[in-house]
Amino acid sequence: MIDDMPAVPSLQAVRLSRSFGQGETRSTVLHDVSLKLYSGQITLLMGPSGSGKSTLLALLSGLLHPDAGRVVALGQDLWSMSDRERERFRLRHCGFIFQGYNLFNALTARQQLEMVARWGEGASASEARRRADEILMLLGMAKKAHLRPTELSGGEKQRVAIGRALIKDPNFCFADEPTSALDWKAGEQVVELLRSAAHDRGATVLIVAHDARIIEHVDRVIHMEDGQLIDHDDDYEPMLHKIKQEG
Amino acid sequence: MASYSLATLWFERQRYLPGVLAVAFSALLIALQCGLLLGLFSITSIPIDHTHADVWMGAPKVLSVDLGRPIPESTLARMGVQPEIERCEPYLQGFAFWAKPGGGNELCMVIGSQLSPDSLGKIDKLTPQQCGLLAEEGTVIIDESDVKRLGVKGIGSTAEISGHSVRVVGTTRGLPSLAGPYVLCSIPTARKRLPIQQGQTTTYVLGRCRNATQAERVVERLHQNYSDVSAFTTGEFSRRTQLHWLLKTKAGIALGYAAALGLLVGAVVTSQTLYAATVASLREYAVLRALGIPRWRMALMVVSQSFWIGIIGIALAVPAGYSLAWAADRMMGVHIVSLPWWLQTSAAVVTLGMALLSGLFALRSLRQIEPATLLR
Repeated sequence: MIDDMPAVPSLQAVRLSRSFGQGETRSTVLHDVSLKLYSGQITLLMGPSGSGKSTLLALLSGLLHPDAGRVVALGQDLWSMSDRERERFRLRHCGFIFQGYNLFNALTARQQLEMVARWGEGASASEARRRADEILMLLGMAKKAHLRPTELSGGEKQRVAIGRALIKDPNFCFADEPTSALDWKAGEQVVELLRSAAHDRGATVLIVAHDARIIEHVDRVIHMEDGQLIDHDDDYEPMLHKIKQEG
Repeated sequence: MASYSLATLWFERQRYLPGVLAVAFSALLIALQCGLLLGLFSITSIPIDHTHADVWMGAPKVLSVDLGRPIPESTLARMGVQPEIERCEPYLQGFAFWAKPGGGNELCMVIGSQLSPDSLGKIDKLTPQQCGLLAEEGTVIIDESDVKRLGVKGIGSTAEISGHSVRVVGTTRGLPSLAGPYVLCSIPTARKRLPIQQGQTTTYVLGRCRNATQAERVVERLHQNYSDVSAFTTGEFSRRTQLHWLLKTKAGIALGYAAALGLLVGAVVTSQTLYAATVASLREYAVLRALGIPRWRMALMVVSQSFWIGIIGIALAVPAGYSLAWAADRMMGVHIVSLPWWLQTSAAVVTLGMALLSGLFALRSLRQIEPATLLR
């Protein structure tokens, strides 16, 4: 997998800034942030509360408009697209996992996944079911496909949420505090699943989290403080990639 | 789409119950109000619907059967010369005061018709035996539901109409009245007791065609040839009478207003139920928006839910409507609520439209979906 890693970043932030509020209450949350992320890699973005991690994630994933700077994803400038084009881009390329599981209470685990395939890509009922079952099996949830969120544990719910993000086989997977509501055993499983999405499926995975125990499971860790990246190498390229080229 | 909507409705049935009940209430109210209206006003056209004429000819521009004015009896000939007509006869009808034996007056509707077996104006509830009894001058038959109202004890009782005595010789069943009880009798008995029908006059001339489909042609020709009378086919005159009562009485407006109010209440409750349910799922919808799923998919889900709320509400309302109509008929002793299939269908279509409209109105909740809020 690493052998196929492209030299160009799959997602690049160029001098991103973002403020909230107006007048005296205006506060700058992100200040001149540049970053490169590569496919097949799982990256952890760490930092204290209010450091701007989630805002950076929102900007990188096309959910929040930056005040200044550019986001280049798969060679396309996200924020020069129209809303409709950006929506289509997210539909084709982006998966999200949020802190709360945000699953529909009335739907089974299988239906939560099917819904994305059917509504997003117009997949037929049988095709959506086949793909949902395939992903649920990968996540170790095959036997619980018929259960609703109220019948699942926190870890299982988060696995369904991951399944919902992965059923589209996305190029990018953004996860905001995916382990914060879980015990470490369940949290570790969740991180491993995201790691597998990067290493086995070639996705660019970005996790925003506080939990330091995640560090040993990721390829790269970026620290953030007061809206800026700390000790960050703007010209970073994956080490293994360099080794291969040198070899 | 349907499976997600139905799964949500079923799983969160307590949340959606007010909407379903509001739709059921609206559908029920519309059907029953209109059914009551229909039942009430079909009473006004009983003299037309329960006789055997194909053509009714009366005074010019007569608005309804009970508002007939005298026309010369000689106009019988006009009907008689029409080639399509095989039989014609006079028919007297008018309001008069019925003096109760115990004191007090009651407005009644006197109907005088020929009583032969092939009579056109004879109400079909009359038996041949009753027709025989009515041949005696001064005898009348009333409906059993009006016995009390007319202050008599039943068969054998006597009273007065316009100062002339009458004797009740029989009763009918299922001949309810609205403005005044129907008093059935012979033409001579009626003429003596209807002050405006003295002399050689009649209220209507009834005609029967050799073939009922020829009635329209006869009516058209009578209109062309005579401006001092008006003529209608049986169906036309029945509808004209009911429409007159519907439009001219406040009862029609009041019942229509209540039905509209029911619809409005249903719309507001359904819309609010859907709005609240959608707002409660905003975070889930926001995830779908983040995943790039277009907003119209979610809009379709909400509208689909409103459709199913409508269908379930209507499914509850239809049997309830028939049950309540049956109960009302039993309580009143006469058929008072009429619920034909087309009325139930119309009420269902209007209610379903209301439910869908409520769904569309609830879509404003989807404007609040903002995926970026999931990251704060």
